[in-house]
Amino acid sequence: MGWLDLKGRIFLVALAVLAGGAVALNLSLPESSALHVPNYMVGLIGKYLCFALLALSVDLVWGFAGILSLGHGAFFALGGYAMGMHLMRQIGERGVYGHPVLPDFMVFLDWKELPWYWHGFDSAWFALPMCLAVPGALAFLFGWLTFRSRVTGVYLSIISQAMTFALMLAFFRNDMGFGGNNGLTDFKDLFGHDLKGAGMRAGLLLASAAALAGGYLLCRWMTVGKFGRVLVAVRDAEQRTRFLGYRPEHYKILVFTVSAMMAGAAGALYVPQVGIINPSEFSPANSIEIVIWVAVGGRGTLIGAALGAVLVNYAKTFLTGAAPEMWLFVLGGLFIAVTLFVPKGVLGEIASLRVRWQARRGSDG
Amino acid sequence: MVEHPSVSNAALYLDAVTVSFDGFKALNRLGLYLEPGELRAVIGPNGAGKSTMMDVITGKTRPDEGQVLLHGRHDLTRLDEAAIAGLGIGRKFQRPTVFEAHSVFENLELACRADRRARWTLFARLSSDRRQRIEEVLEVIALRDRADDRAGLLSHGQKQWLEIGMLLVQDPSILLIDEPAAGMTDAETMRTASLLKRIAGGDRSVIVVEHDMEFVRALDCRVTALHEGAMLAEGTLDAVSANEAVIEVYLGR
Ligand SMILES: Nc1ncnc2c1ncn2[C@@H]1O[C@H](COP(=O)(O)OP(=O)(O)OP(=O)(O)O)[C@@H](O)[C@H]1O
Ligand SMILES: [Mg+2]
Repeated sequence: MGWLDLKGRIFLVALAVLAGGAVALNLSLPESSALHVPNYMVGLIGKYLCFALLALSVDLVWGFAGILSLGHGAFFALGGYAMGMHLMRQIGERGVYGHPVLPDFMVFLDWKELPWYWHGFDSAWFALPMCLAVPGALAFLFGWLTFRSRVTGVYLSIISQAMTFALMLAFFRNDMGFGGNNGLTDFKDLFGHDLKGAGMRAGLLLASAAALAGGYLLCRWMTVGKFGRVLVAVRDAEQRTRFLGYRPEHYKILVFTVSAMMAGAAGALYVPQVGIINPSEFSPANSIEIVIWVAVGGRGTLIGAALGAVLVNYAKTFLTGAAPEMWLFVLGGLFIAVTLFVPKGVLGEIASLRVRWQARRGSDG
Repeated sequence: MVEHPSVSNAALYLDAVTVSFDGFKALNRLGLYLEPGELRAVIGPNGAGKSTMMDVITGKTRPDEGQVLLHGRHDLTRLDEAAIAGLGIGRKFQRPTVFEAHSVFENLELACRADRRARWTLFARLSSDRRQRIEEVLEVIALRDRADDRAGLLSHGQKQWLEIGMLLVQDPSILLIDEPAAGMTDAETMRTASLLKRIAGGDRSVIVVEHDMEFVRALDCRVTALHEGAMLAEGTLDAVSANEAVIEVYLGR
């Protein structure tokens, strides 16, 4: 695998060690042990890994194809809702109202039967592919409408933001059939195993790590070869690629759709770990936050984007505990600081430092 | 020169092409006949419509009226940029545009003939004969020892050459070259002229737009003078420069 460089291997090994280590220390050691990884920490790491995958998906379109999507939160949320629907149907008769088929909120709204689009979600064989297919289909449609009309730059960003906003409003409505305001929650189990069980928690963490690794390999494979060079060419000089005979819109639609499916996978893994999905996941601010993770970590570096997601979310977890009202200011300040002082992001900056250092050493020696 | 050669023999044939921008006619019933293998210089004052003519040929701008035929067969006014490029028309922009983040070699690789479709590009491998073609072109454009440098680091003149090289690796049948000598030293300008003379010929026709008269003289080819979107004169450089109307346009005001 010549396309997987040293950095990539280190990243994958570190990821395996982190996930495997956390799970092992959580399951094998007694709670009294100093090295025991507490349950909440397992959940937290799993959540971070989902965010890292989400960041990766944004970096693929923004860092390489120059598509600044401010709507990727929507793809994440759709993946999450698809998973949430499966989890809802898994509750079965154990809901508050004990209805054999209808989820609680439908009984509460006095619905008599399951809406057609809820059918099939009781089966994991249907629901899991939907976690990718629904965001993928929306992204394809979005790309078909915008990229083919040659919408680029700020206009595209605004439209993507409008898309997630519109979806948020739609999902807030009770008659949409997705639980309105409250979203989907009170999940019981997945694949017949209790969601709150230790094994499930560990399994979800490992699955998130595997998804992140898979997502990274996919992004790396797509960007390291000629396809990736065409993407960068489109990013930097779209007109030129047309006159060379490329159709940039096809490249963009493809990469945007793949990216949305990655975001959907992240959402689908996220929901069982946090136990809820509601329309606030569609909020425009969420999508902007993802872009900030990528900017902090280093646009176009993939690994940087993943690290950025973890870094910023760690800071967020820490700060929302200490001073929650400060978070948005900190996030905004962070974005400005990064844009001004570390425009290439943490990883991008390290890489260029290394190049400069090597150049200096080369000229000395 | 035959006065009314048949349309189907023309490498490129423009007839009564009109382009208006909000009522302003950038091209006004422009006609052009380019023979296979011909090298043609197009001159004209700023705003004469030279770049717009290239935009029409390459599909960037759709004409309001008129006909644009490639090899007497393909109606270019119905095709998009990528399709026209696929038919073998290469274009160098007035402002050099290369992919600055990529190396010189990679720039040429992206320009190489290959299936341009996204799903095939994912699995693309650089074949050894393409690699060899790139090496040849690197030699021609004198950038062999810069092959691994980022294109963004090249000088203005070198970028112009790289862009010409990106056209050459495609083996196009028609090259449209907009102001190649801009930003070049005198020596580079003369080398560019001789390069273009070498490129044209056989089945390959070249249209060069240029302001620099020394350069046009060095090209030693048929010259078309444009003015206000229409052809003013055509012939040898000496004949065109002696033309009353041309003198009027260039010196009269
Ligand atoms: N997209 C456009 N919209 C409006 N006007 C345009 C557009 N493109 C070109 N024009 C106008 O059409 C006229 C011809 O422009 P063109 O660029 O073809 O000239 P040119 O002969 O290439 O000049 P130069 O020597 O300065 O490159 C100019 O007056 C220009 O302002
Ligand atoms: Mg021009």
